[in-house]
Amino acid sequence: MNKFIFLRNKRGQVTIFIIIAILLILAVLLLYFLGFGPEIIAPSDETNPQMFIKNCLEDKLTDTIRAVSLRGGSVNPERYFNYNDIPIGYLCYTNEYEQRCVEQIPLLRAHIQEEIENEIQEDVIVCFNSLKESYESRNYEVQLNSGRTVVEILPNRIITRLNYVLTLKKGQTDRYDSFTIPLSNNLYELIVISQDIIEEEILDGNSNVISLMFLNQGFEIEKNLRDDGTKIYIISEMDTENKFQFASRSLVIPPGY
Amino acid sequence: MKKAINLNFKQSIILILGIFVIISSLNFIKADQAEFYCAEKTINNEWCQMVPIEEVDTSYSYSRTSCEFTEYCSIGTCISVESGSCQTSPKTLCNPEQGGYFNSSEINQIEDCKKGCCILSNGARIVRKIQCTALSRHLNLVYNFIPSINTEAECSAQVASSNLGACIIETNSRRTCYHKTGGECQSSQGEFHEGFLCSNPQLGTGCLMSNRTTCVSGKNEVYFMDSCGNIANVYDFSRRASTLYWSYFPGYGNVELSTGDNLGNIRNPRHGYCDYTKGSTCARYDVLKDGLQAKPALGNYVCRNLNCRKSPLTGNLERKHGESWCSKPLEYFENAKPGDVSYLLYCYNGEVKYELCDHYRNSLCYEERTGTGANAISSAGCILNKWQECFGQDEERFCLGSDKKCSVVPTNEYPTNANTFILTEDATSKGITLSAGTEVQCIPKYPPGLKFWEAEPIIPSAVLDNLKNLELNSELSSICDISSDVCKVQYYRKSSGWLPWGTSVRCEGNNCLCIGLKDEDRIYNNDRGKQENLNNDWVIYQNDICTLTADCGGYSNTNPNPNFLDISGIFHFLEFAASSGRGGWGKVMAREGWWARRAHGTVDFTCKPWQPILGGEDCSKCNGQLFPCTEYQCRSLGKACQFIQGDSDNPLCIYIDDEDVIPPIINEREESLIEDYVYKEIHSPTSRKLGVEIEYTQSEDGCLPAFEPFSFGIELDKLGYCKFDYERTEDFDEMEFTFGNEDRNTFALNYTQTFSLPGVKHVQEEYESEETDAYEYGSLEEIEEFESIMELIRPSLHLNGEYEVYVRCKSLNNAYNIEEFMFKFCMEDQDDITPPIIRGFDWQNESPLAFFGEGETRKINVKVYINKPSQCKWSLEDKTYESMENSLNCQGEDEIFNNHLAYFCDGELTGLENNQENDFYFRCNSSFGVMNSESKRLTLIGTTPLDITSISPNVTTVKSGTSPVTVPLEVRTYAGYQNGVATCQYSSSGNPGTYSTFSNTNSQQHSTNLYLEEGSYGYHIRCYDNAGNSKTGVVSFNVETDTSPPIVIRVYREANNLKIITNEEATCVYSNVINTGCMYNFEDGQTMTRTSSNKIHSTSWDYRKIFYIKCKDEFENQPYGAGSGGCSIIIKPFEFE
Repeated sequence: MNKFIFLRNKRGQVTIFIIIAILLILAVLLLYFLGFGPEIIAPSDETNPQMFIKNCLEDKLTDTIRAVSLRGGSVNPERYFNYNDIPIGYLCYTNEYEQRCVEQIPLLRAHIQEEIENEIQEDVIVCFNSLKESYESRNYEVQLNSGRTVVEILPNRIITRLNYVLTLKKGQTDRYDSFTIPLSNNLYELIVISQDIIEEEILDGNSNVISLMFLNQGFEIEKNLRDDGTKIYIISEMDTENKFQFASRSLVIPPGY
Repeated sequence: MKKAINLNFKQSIILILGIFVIISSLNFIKADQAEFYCAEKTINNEWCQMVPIEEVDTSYSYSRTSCEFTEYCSIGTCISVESGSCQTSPKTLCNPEQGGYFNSSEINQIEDCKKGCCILSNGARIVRKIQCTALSRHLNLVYNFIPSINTEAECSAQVASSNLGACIIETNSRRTCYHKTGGECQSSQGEFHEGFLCSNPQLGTGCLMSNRTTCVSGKNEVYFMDSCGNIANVYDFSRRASTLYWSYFPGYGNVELSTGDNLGNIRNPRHGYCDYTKGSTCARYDVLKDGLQAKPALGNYVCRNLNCRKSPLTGNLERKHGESWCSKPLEYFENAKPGDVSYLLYCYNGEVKYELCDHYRNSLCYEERTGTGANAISSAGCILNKWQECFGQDEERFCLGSDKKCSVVPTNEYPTNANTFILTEDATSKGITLSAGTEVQCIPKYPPGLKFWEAEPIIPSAVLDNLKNLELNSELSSICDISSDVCKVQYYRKSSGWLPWGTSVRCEGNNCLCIGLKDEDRIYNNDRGKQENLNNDWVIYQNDICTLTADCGGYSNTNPNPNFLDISGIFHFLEFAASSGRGGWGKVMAREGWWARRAHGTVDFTCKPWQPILGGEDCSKCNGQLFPCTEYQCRSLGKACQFIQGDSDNPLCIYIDDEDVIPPIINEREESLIEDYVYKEIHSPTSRKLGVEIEYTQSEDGCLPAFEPFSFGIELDKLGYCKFDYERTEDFDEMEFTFGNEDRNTFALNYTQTFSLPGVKHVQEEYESEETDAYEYGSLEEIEEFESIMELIRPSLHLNGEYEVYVRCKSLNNAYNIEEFMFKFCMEDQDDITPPIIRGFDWQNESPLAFFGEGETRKINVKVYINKPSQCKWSLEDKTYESMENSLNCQGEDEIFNNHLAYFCDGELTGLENNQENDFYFRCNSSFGVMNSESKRLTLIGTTPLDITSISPNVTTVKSGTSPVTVPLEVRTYAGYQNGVATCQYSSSGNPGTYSTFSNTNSQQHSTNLYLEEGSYGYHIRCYDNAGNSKTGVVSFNVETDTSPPIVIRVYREANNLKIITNEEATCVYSNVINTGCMYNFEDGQTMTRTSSNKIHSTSWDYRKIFYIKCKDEFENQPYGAGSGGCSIIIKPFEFE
């Protein structure tokens, strides 16, 4: 009888073990499908600091470039004409009648570069801090030396160089001396055309947009005369969305009364 | 003893009064003179402006003088070498910290700022010299600047046809061929055949003729492409199979280019010699833009017409690209009416564009037309209307000078106080010929416009200057006042005494109101004070002068034939009400336009600014014209017209009645409906209109088809801004959506709204699926949550397909309708019998694809967006849905695609080929079994591999005299997509994530500077283009620094020469001056002769002298104290004797 009981118990134990095993398997499956399983770490941009910084800053850069392009080269222009709810900065201005305008931003390219650098600075710091934290959370020894942010507007592209030095140590040491974000944008040419227009405004009080368009095939120039004598110039690159606009007020003849 | 100054009372008073007068006059003088300062910066953030003191930003410089006389605002040229710019600018803004350098000379006097022809390897253009050097630096290209060339045509001609040829590169027993210059081919270590095309059979490259054509960046023509993807000669159908044409570049092997029809080959399907100056350029064929006739016989590119078609804007003429013309001829403005303005129009790239010359006719469009027939072309521009200089002119040569800004009117012998002169020769004015000897006065030829609605007068200084001789000058209340005048009248009556009502008087003498009347004619002064029988000719004449001055005088600009005497309601006839005899005066009144006062002996005619008619019934005429409405035009249409949204793209001229508190009345808009849709009015039981029901005429129950975009709209009786919602709301602000898909709250008279909604079956299916998921797979809590959410949102799901859209509109006065206007409709409750619509793909059509290497699987992923849940297939051929071989995965999920909700299917596309266009055809089958009968095509372009043709430094050692050494790292790329345009990066380790992008990249040349210490270096280069082709390379080199000056290792005499040998190549100089010894500048020394090795240096032997010798190497390393001391060696030849 004891043997029978033993045998019965043994079968019972096996049964219990089988049930437990099935339950365990079910539990694991349930956990997995409900999302509590081991996390699958997909390859992310954080493994590549260059890509991380690029992805982190690209949108902000693009938005800033678009904003300064629509506002006459400044993020917040000090002297502007409001058109279509956009404050468009004056690049050449006179408050008088019958006088030619005075150039307001002669070093336009350098000015725009500075405006972009200043505008993205906060985001640069945030992005690098995020990068640092992401590596530290993965047990890297991280050394980050901050540096200058330099934006350079060149033919067909805008290069943003972040002279930060990042050193990562985990077993081997990797050092990144600088970070570069190139963007495809022909703001360079738009600036050159704008300066040609301004020079004509200063010399003649007006510009000949038809001639300028023929000299610069691939670009359209629109001149919009406002009631107070301000001209809004809109220079667009054909087949792209690149656009630069600014205001000018020169050689305005008042309506006699 | 001091003498007391005693004043008596009278003297004291006089003194006090005198002081008072002086003080007052001082104040008067001070108040009278406007004090303007040259402000470096104003409080309005303007630089270098003349402003009153209160507008000066006193934290910057300012002075009470003209800006040109200040140092900070003096005008010169601001030069930036880095940017390559020269700009005329005030000194204060030329910031050295931004790289600016100020030169006080004018821009055209500065050598570096002069323009000339800048030749770079990628083209030539006219730019300033400084800009040329900057471009060459930024593009990393060698440049050549020719200052004597100043026209684009001459400059373009400088770009040599460049010795292009076939460059054959052997790699891994493959012979690949590219078209390159000799220099580029050499860098790639290829075999160069000048003038040969790669498709030349003699070369055996495997590159063959093809039917493919393409456009080339920077060029206007359509080009053939060979089978290897190289750009060959200009597309010429007649030579498509000519071996010669496919063997050589033009100018070689007797191959010459044909220009086709010599007219730019506009829409010519058989020739690609486009000509921009004739109005054509290369473009991808588009049947809508180019027309069926232009479909190219080969390839997909054609010379697109850049000219402009006939339209009202073109004056119903076809206009050529670059042609310009005027909206109205200049002559029209000789009789300009208020509101008339002049536009310059021009044709550019197939579109008509326009430019307003001036808001108030201070500038007008002038046009010249040359040529005849089809070759006739107009050229126009805005010219200044210098009307200010016409007033007060009393000399014929100034009035009728060559600039033709003025005209004349005869005085007609009327008495006048205006300046007049006698014509010495015949003149034409307003179409009338005036003969020599006629007395005339000078007036503007093209009267200017005025801001006649404003109270503050601004009389241009040029006018005041010209009128300084006229007595009226100081009393001018407006420009029109210039044409005011006075004349004498003289009446007499039979007996002396008063002139009571009912008596008659007689005219006498040269009486401007009586001209033409005989002395004995009677003028009756009736009992209402009205004059009868007066001659108004002088007044009419004066009014004509008045209207020719500017927007002055009395006339109507909406009546095409205004007749002064017939304009009742605005003018009265002259009224004479004499009140006394001697010294008495009468008053002659008109209500608007002019006011004449007749006094005993004089009549004053006062010319006043023109005024529009009362009311605003015509305001809307300004909107919806060819050109946007301006404030000037708007105001001229009625006194009550107002101009709104002026600083936007949608200005409007409206009539605002301030007392109008009635909201806009909303009605449905028929024009917004598309075909097969109708409205049916909905009325309340009391017959009040509540809205409309939208019905689809092609369905039995009128319900709308699922997923078919439909539109409906509203029209208002006055300008309004409208919103809508699916639920009833308390007020306008509560409504959620803007009607008409507008982002801004602009006002309009009508709006259209577009929807695209699922049918009942689709919504129910979706809902049931969610319900099933919840009940079958969810926990109890999840089910409860589902039910509570459903209870909330079920009404908005429109499970029964019924929709109600409520609309409200707000007027300019903020009045909105309390009761909404309702649109009601239902969506179909039946199986969907319309085929799916493929809205697009996640690939742009004609996107490039990376080159597929041997053994690589040629497939890509694709997503197809459709308007409703469907199954989709694809094939390499255009065939029926059932025959298509490949299926896509369609899960019934949706995304936003092109701002619309869309469903998608995804899958893989296979069978891709390199270096050709790959066409894929797609069709879909809806969930109700309705299939597409036509395919949607997606074209993807296969490319060639990207190639790195050179990497430098290509030397073993880079040497410099400084540390760290600047090493320029340069790469050239070729082939791939866009002929080698790529992005390149470099890394010292080659590990992923360690690559840095070149400073100058995204082109075919790439460069960046490295700053390295001495040592050995190696870099991994990788480049990739927009198609995803990539190429890698490596470069290694040593860096050495040489900071030591040369050492003299041997001194000897050879014949009569003193010779020294240095340990490295050097330049040596010497001095014999004992007093200075080694303390002389290198440049001041006498150069020693060098041998070809540059290590042996000699000079004449002279035992009487001491030689203080300095030697420097190529890195300018000199002995310590160079420049003011230090020698490499001091030689005393006498010690050798």
